[in-house]
Amino acid sequence: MEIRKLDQMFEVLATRPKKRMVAAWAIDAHTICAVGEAVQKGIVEGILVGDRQIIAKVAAENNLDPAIFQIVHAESDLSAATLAVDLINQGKGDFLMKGLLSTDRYMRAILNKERGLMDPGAILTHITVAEPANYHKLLTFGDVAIIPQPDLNQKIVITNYLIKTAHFLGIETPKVGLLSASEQTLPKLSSSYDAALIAKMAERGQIKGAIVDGPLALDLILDKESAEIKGMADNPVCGDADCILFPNIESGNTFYKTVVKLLKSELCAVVSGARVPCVLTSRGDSERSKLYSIALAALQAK
Amino acid sequence: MKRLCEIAEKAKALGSKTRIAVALAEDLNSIGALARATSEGFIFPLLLGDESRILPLIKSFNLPIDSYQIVHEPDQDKATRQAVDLVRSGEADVLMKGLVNTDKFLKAVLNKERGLLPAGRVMSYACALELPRYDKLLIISDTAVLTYPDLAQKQAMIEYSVAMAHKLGIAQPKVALISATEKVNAGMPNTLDYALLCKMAERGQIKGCTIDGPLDIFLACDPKSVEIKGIPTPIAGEADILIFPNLETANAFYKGLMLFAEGELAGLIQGTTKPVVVMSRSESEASKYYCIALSCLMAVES
Repeated sequence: MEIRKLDQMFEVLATRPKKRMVAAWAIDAHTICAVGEAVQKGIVEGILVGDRQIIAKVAAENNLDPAIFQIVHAESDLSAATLAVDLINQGKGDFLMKGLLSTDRYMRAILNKERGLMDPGAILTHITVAEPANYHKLLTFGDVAIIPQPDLNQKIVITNYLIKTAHFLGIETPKVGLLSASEQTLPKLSSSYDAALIAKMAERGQIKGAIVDGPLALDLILDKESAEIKGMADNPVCGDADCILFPNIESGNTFYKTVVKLLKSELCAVVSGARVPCVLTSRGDSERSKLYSIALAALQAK
Repeated sequence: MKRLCEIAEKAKALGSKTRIAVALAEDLNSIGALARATSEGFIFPLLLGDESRILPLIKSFNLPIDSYQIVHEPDQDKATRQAVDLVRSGEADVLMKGLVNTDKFLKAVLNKERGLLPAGRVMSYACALELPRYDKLLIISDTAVLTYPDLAQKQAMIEYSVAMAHKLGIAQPKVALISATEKVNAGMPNTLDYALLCKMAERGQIKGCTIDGPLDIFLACDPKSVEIKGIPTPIAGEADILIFPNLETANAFYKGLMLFAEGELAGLIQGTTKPVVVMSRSESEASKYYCIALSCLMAVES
């Protein structure tokens, strides 16, 4: 089934075996409540790595029975992160989530060469799925958080993760728009060059499973009427994109925040590229958004 | 159009005599090439150089005395400059290199104040090949001028070749961008330029043709290979124009065909305000004649 609303992820997950999520340094109300809600919704099993006593106390304060979680004791944020990653590597968990520790420490545990979650040569990237008001389907896009200025090779990797994520959402042949400021290939706009190259690679079957086009400006990617006015109505991606590749973090991050703050729309995100999906929510995210991120990671977990 | 003699037929059908200014018409090579076209009545040569050297050569062809004009100028540099001036002033339609050394000749053509190349224009070379085993004319570039064309120069090569094809009556020529493979590969930078050029054509930044590349010669010129490889390409093994990544490749391609496949050619310098004919002495008599005929067609304002 093609998921067109974020809520529909729950319906799909309900039909599948539950995935085991491991939350690293899950000692704060934000994390424990998010995992608790996911567990109570029946979409995951929750493993909380952290100080056993604190977890029990915080759970009780938030009217959660600690017994719904499996708790693995850890003394500090650092040891919790290492332990959480170890659990994944031992096959005792299916995906990872960040608790109260800093993003930096969380990422370092994932990226650790000996004990982390990276295969050689793998590239970590941040993929967002949004349900923007006024758009007729979900939008998967990246990278808004990890790779500041992706080069051609990294853009290809991100494009492939966007496509993969769309496939997990049940979109058989997603349409990917490669963002630039114009649909023309212009020497002073390096994003337009990379976009043209990636589009050609897709045409040659070097990128599979999607219809890819670019360079395209945002209006062309999202709005049929703009495409018609600019004579691009025949373009299969225009006005009907499932995915957007942003040329840099500034444009991606701005779009992300516009969706959340101006459109007041829900979204969720996952870090792709490690051996398992990694949830990286921030305290600024809404409760709903955290739950969606867990669901998105669960959809992608093997 | 399948044969180069059709170019000559078209030149004859113009019904006017194209005035060709020959810089240093003091060799049998140039005069011999001009004699046939003169006797067939579609050119009027203006022979610049030392009259005492030109006269015995031209007399050996028994042309009517009023079918050509000798402009006596014994100084090589002055004769060359004067030939260029004649074209600039509109007293001649085409410039042709005679016995003058190629460097000196091109210097006069490229002269900023008194030459034939507008500021900022790319000078290139394109020629049409007639090949017994290919069922249409094949325009190729650049076999002679640009050594390692960059993106903008490749674009110019395409535009010149397309303009030539249009003059030959090919309304929507198929342009193949030649590489060793059809894949876009950063290790072969020309394939990146090709992907960009394709997108530019797709977006209407290059007009009047159908472009695809990278393609190898098989995919460009052999429908069977296209079928076997299963690569969807609008060129479909029926290219009208081949754009080569560098001069060595283009030069070896055409010379190989001249030598082993009984090819003939008609080529011209591109980018100049008026056609410029530069022929090598090793070209066949027929090819020289075709070069002159082509210059007549290209001299007609479109």
